[in-house]
Amino acid sequence: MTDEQKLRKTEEAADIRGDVLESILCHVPLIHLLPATHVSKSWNHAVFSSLRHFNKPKPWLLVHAQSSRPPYATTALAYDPRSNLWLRINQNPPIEYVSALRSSNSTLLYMLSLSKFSFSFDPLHLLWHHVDPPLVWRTDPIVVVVGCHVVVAGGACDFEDDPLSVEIYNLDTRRWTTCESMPAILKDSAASTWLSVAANAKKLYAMDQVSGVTYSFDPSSRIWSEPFDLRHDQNIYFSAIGYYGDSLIMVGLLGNSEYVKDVKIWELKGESFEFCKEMGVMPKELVVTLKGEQTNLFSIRISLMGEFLYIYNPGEPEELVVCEIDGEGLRWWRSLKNAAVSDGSRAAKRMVLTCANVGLGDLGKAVGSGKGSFSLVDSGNLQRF
Amino acid sequence: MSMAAVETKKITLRTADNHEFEVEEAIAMEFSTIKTFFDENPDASEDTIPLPNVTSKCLSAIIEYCKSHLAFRARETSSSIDEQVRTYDEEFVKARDNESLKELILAANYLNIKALLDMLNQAVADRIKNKSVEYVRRFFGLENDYTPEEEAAIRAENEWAFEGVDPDDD
Repeated sequence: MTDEQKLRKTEEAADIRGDVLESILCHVPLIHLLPATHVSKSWNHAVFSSLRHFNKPKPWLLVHAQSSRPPYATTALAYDPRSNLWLRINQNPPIEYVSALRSSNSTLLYMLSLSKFSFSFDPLHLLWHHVDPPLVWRTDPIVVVVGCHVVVAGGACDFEDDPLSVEIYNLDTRRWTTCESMPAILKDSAASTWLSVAANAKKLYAMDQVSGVTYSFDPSSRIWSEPFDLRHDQNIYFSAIGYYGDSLIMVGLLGNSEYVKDVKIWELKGESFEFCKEMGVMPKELVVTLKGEQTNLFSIRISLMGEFLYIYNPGEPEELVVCEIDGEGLRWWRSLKNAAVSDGSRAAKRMVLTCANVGLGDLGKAVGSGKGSFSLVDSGNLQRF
Repeated sequence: MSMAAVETKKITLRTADNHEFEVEEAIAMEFSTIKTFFDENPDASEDTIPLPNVTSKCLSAIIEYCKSHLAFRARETSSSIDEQVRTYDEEFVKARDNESLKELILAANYLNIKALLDMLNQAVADRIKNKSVEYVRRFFGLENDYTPEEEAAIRAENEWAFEGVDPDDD
């Protein structure tokens, strides 16, 4: 080797790029990849290539913890499973929380007051829409975005109004329309406390969590369907649904609330969801985690986005159960400590959980526009396999 | 059945700076690149293997690492062993400066030692993750190829991006 060749070899010695660089980048949390895209043009390329090939972004779990009393101080935390860390999301300017924050499915947050209906369905909940409230006063409706429609159903006080009333806000025309009420059988359960909701781009599905009775609603035709029977196991006493690709995922509690025998997950496919496949069973030690301090398990809520399924007990929000869906079924069952609970304050809090596909672009837009900034929550070792 | 003495087979490796290292076969087989070479050339075990991309400083550290991890793996798995492995890995990395870490990564990549590479990648990721863009450029010896206008726009965006950015301590 000539001297020149030897010199070139030493200069190349610690030149980290290509696959080697992309492997390093897959260990860098998504939020820290943002500055990495600004290091140089080749690093910009390496970051995106690394995200595509080595360690893809994974759906974030967003937890809004809100004080139950005015001014309803709210902390917004997010869990990034790709790097197993929690972040605090700070909104600029801070969002005015004028009433109770609610969510009826995985993607949308809303607040309802006498003068305003506010809702947000962007991944980080930094963008809020404020419109006139629906005609019928409601405390706890189901609110779901289906295509360009925001469907607001039920949740009304039945002294004065029809508790099954349905109104749709069209995001394009910015107008409210009243349409066919919910099916009468849901009269006692037409609110987000009792219903589990899943939606795709065309329809929403509402399931009475205790009885299992499920209806779909198409906001374009404004028609409620005939009821579906999704429970193929008679031992289910409580169930919740979510959307996964073209299928509905149903999480069911079997046995009874004093004695939970099992927590199972099914995949339902087909026009009337006639094809039902059991995907898996929650490991017993995680059922114990879900019960927390209690021996009963009355209800669960689920947040489903992409392959990530988060399951939690609203009565015991300290620890959640997480698993991932793949071609074979369910994998990577583990528990996750809820950083919003270990946040120090013992004041009564309402927790609202949503789930979102957060990409580098979303973070870049949030930071670049000044709407959001992020800080790491130092919470120690949270995830146990 | 006769009791044959077990001969530990040794393999000779020659580094870029012309040092020769004699290592036990078990350790050489941790380097997937070398293992593949022997799988394809079973008669070559007597030859010295040249490693033109690895310095003696790197190779000696890597051999240390593989020896220690082989010893850990020979023992029964337990949480105290896991703890010892974690401590060993932390110490291994803590002692190195940024330049050595980068060299080790390139060497581990060339020799294809997955566990060591993952560990080193995580260590470098940890070193750069809460630092400024300038620090990262210095760490990796990178040229800023953005125009002054592009650079100004980027600085404006990143000013208040994070709370708690660690100070650059070099």
